[in-house]
Amino acid sequence: MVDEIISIRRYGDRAALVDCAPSEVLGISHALRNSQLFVEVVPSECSVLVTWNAPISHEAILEIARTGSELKIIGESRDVEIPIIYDGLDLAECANALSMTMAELIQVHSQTTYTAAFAGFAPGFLYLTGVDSRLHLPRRSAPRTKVPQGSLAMADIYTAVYPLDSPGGWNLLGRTTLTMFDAFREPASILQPGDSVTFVQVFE
Amino acid sequence: MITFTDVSGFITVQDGGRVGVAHLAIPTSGAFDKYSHDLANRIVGNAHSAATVESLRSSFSLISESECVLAVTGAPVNVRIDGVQLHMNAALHVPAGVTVEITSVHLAMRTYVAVRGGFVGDAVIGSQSYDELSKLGTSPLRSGSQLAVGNDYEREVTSAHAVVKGVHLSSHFVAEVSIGPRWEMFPEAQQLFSQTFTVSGQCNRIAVRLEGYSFSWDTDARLPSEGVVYGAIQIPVDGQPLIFGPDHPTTGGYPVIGVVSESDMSVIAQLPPGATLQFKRSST
Repeated sequence: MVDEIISIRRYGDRAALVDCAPSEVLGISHALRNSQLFVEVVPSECSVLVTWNAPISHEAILEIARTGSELKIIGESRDVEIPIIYDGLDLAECANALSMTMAELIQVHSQTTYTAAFAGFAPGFLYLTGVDSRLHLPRRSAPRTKVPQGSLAMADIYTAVYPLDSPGGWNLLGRTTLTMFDAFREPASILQPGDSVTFVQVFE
Repeated sequence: MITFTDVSGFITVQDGGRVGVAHLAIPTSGAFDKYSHDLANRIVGNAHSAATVESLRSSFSLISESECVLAVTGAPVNVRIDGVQLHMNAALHVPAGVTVEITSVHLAMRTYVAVRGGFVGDAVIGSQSYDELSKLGTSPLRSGSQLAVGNDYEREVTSAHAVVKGVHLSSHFVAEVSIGPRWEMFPEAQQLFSQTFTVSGQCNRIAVRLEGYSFSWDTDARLPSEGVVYGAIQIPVDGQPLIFGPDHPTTGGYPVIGVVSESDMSVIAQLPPGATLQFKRSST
């Protein structure tokens, strides 16, 4: 059963891409990382990229990946709470589009435990999954040229905090005063793939 | 301490990059032409990990407050010490307080300068490399910038009389490519090995953009974003290939048709706008 879902693709001489179901990404990444055979293990939406210095066969990679595909609980999973001031520019518009009050939207969003599934877009930008289906909205038709650092946003099936000032097309719900990414800090990123994340409403 | 003066252009500090952090969306960065970076370090007896200065078609001068050994590799430049022209790809013994002038001749793209012991700038997340995408690492050099000299050497300096072979430079190159993860998304994928592409003017450390043949693919079929690598040939919506350099984003949402071999990426790092590029299928 599992074997039908996981497959591997060539990616040049020093990398391979393991295709899998979104629900398997974290377990497979965890197993591949723990093997200590790879330079990089990069989870994404429904794949895991591995790169290496010492050659390794596709069969060996798949064998390791399979040991992770059925992991339900990841031993190193951490619980991270992020305080949020829910005063985002798009809060009212989102509530309206979802036919709920702003208070209801905030309640649903802050009562969910999310999973940091994978990073992308910018250093420390973690795509969090687990958004309640009542909150699913497309991204904005016109992206903003500047979204401030610390902005809490959601789009499609994801929610995230923008770690740095950047352009962005997601719906802005609020902000945190935590510095999500600081290259001079160890660790630089507050979040890493596999974390369990909750947002706690705070007021200024 | 080494002081840089008369800086015009884009000059950065580069080393082996940020390794093992791609899962946090932190690009690897590091020297683009790894051959020339490694060569410069080897000439002055440095460890692989030592930082060099990468100069993009730029001119500058440097003065060391103490005696030092330099090597200049990569894209051709004129190197003069006290007005005397010196060799590239060889050890240069530089007395204290003397001005070394480096003048770009605009033939290729990236020149590397190594100092025995390595340059020491600002390291973040395990590397000094300036990352053009994420703006991490040692800031690009300006007139008046200073870098310390480290002790990251492990061998003797190469004989001052030995001039070693530099990176391959030309205005036409045939790069070795292996099949990428989304090769089958392109009905005309084989065109990769029969067309001639031209290096566009839109190139930086993030990507080398190519012009010429345009690949068609079903752009309505949403491809989930997935990890990408140095040397990956990605085909965006407009069908014009781009090759990812060291500061590439860690993930991408457009399909990758092929991957340039790591050794050939050093040559691609040196191709100027207008150079022509073909691909041949890797035998491995």
